[in-house]
Amino acid sequence: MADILFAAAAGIGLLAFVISFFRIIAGPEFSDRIVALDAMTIISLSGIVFLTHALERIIYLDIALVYGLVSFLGVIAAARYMERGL
Amino acid sequence: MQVLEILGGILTLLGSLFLLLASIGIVRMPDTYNRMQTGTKATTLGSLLFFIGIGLAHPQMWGKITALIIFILITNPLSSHVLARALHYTGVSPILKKKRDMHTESRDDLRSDILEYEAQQHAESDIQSSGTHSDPGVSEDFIADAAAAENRKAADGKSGSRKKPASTAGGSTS
Repeated sequence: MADILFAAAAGIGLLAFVISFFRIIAGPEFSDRIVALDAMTIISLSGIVFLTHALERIIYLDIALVYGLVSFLGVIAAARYMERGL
Repeated sequence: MQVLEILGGILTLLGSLFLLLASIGIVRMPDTYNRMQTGTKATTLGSLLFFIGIGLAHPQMWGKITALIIFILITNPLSSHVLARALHYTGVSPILKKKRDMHTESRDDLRSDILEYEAQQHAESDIQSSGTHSDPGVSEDFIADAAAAENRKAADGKSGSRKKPASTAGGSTS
């Protein structure tokens, strides 16, 4: 019962990842692509946490933490580039 | 134990549904500000529910999952705020320029505003592709562009005056 629920959650998360990738391809502006990239990193962060559950390895949570830090710094760098250049 | 696993599965499914709603909103919303709003708040709630569900299924992971939840709660609104500030200072205008009273006006006015915005977007793209500025229908847009350029210039002057003491300090130390 619980395995079916977790598998459905992983499938819906993968669908959300694919749908938000459409905005990166078709976004008319640079800012739209950055917004979609921010959402995609959060969704893939949830995917890494799901891998922690599926493979029973707690060390993947550290990878998720570092990945979230890197995505946060990426969004900050992109916003600063949009505002006044690098 | 079994009950905790099923409860965690339900919470994880709810969180992934919120993630799906966020991605649909990113594709469907008409403006960059709207896309940022739906893409930040819904992903924050969805990922928090996802993490809490996984943590209920595995109680030994609870410490690191708490650290991850606190990290997401701090950094996600912060990055959205920085992005909105950069958008505002680079002169991206929202889809509704005038402040409207939503209780007295009907939805048709909103729809006509959205259609007008899309027509304006098409006109701007046509001007950029053809390179001619002889269209008389876009003079108001040129006025708005001039106002945006003035605002940007004022912001640049402010940042320059803020940056100037640092450069003089660097020169004196070197």
